[in-house]
Amino acid sequence: MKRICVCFKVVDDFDEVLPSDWDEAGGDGPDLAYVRRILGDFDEAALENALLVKDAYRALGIGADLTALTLAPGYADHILRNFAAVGVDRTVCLETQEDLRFSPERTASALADFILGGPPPDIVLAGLMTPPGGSGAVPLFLAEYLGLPCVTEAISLTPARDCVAVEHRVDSGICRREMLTAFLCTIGNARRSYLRVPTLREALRAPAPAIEHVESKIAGSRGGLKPLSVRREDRRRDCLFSEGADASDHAAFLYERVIKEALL
Amino acid sequence: MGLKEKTVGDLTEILGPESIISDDGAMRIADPIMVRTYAKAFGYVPEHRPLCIVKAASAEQVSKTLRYCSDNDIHVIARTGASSSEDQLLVIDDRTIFIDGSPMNRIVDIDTENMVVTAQCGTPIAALEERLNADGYTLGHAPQSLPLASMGGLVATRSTGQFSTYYGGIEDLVCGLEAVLPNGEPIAIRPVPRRAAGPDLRHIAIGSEGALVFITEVTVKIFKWYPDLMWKGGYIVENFKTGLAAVRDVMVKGYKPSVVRLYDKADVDHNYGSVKLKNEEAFMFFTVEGPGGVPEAHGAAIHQIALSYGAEHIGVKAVDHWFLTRNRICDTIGTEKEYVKFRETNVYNATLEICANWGQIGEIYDEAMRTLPEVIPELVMLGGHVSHSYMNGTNVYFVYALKMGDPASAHLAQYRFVDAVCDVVLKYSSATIVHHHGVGKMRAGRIREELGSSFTLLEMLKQSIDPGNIMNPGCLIPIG
Ligand SMILES: Cc1cc2nc3c(=O)[nH]c(=O)nc-3n(C[C@H](O)[C@H](O)[C@H](O)COP(=O)(O)OP(=O)(O)OC[C@H]3O[C@@H](n4cnc5c(N)ncnc54)[C@H](O)[C@@H]3O)c2cc1C
Repeated sequence: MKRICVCFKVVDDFDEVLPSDWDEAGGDGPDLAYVRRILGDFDEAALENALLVKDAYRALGIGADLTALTLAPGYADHILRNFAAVGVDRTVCLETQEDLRFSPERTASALADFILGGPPPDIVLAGLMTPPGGSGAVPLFLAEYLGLPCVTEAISLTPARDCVAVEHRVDSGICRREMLTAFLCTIGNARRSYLRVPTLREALRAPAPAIEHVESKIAGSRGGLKPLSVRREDRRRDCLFSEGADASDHAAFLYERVIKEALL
Repeated sequence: MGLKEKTVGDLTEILGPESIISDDGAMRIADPIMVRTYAKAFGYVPEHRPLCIVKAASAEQVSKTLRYCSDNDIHVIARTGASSSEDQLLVIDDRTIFIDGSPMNRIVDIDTENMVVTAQCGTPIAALEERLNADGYTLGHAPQSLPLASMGGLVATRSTGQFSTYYGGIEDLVCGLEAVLPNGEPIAIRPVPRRAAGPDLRHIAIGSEGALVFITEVTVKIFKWYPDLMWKGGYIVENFKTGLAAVRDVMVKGYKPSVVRLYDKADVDHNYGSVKLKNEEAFMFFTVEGPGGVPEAHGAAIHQIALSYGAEHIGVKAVDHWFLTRNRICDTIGTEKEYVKFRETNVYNATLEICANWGQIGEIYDEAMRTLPEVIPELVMLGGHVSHSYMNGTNVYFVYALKMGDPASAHLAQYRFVDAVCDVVLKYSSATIVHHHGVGKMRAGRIREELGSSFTLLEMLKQSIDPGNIMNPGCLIPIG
């Protein structure tokens, strides 16, 4: 029996924040009470890829057990209730009143506490990061806390009997590795990115979606881990306004100021 | 020479080469939304393709084209915005051309003394509304497809808008129109405030779905626009039935909200997400428009009615959120993201709108919600909302998603769903199987049951106006 654990996060859909709320937003960010709750994009891909791994193990005649683990999901029943029907064996919500925004170590620590409290997983998957504002650091800390090797930005996982072939993005392209379990893998722009959807009948037939709510004591960071170096990525967006009178003015502007500069 | 070459050759001679598109790739623009989605996601190739598309720039060109088609038994599908959802634009044989009225997109006249605007059929409604708003007026017609649809198509489908409870559907707005008959003869119905000269001939064109005439120009009412004075109120009610009772009370007491919407939990969670509902709870909201005094007065009364049904007032944020996102679906149609999601999940989202008297609408909703998941195994989601209310009843807009096993059979699953809803609705004496999307080819098979003994009138109209059955065969009226 293989044990797969996928860590995911339910987030607010920032595309739906009212412009007026952006304008009025204080230090705590805009009012999000009325915006839709969705799965983080990469986390959705992580869940689907975890299910694909489970399917692949089943095809090899190997049983696999999939736990979906999240921390303080908030309003999310509409998302979680279908998990059992698509093949998630256990859905666990770690509950806490603490504000864990911008605390990747403490988040990872809470996840690690839960994982280490049970039978050790063979594969741990997590989304590369959870926008907005995600640091992408949670899975990296988690790998350290669990003592697992970490493959970043995986786009597909293909299990075999004795290892798992992982394709993942590196600066120079796509790298294929054969990983022995156990390991942790962050899912990036994966080949499959949307979570499968059950039919209403499948949902009815599935075991009742017992979602476990587990009180989590957030102890603070486990300490001992310091990033070797931290650097702000140099990313900027520039904005140019073309104030021409007609399309040919705009085209000339685009050519002179953007295309020509890029070509030269 | 094949029929395609001959038709393209003849029409090129009659209209000039710039008016004809016959290249297979370019003609993809003629595919209805669902076919386009399937084609992109799964490489699906529709069984029949049009011979060509005529880009009609004037009523005269429409007339020449229709005369040619009439003489040569070529079938014609009229189109403008191509946003229709009931397979109105599906090509079902190999002798069909499209007449695309989108080049006829001129706003002919804005007459603020008589409060009407005249626009050609291809005028995008969004452009017209924007133009009117700039001067402090509104059409009062805002379908969710506002960013896509054009005036000709809206009239031809008897469409309705999100503010219809105050302004009415398009049939309440059209004062006059110009059209071309299938034999090429132009006709005009002069716009007047009211006319008692026999049956209302506007209604031959309104809702005719391209099966009777080609509409070239429409004159519709306009209204003074007071967006800053709008009253809004959002509420959570115990369940959908209680919401229906509250909405009915607002309507029958004579208040005039512009938007009246009542969502069940499935619909809120799936599509909207702005209100966190528990168990059976439903989300309901109202807006009131009009000059100073009116919104406050009607709003205050509506608020009291809502509270008397045990509703929890949740302010206006969720309503503002609806305004922000109400037409967003149009931005996702045709995007790469949409196709990828469709390909990976095989889930196709669609909607179906029906309507009934107050006495039966709740039962219809309950029966549909109970039975449809049993008879349609492909259903992955089913919810509904009320969006257009009247003195005597309201609509339910079913929102559903189907998981298609095989893209080639997807259409069949959708048609089965539509049929299953019709089966439910047609059992009720005060109900109709179609509220505002039109019949198209999807519900044409049920139109006889829908109209009952009056179906013969529709047949007679079709027979006398379009004896050769060249106008959108199979749409509105089934073949055979
Ligand atoms: C996302 C989405 C949301 C929608 N929301 C609404 C809504 O809120 N309310 C609503 O009522 N509908 C809605 N619809 C349906 C659709 O937008 C309407 O049916 C609209 O009226 C179609 O207008 P169109 O210009 O796109 O017409 P088309 O799709 O081009 O044509 C529609 C029908 O009218 C005929 N037709 C088109 N032009 C002419 C003409 N000049 N003369 C004669 N016949 C003609 C066509 O043959 C066809 O049968 C929605 C559709 C989508 C995709």
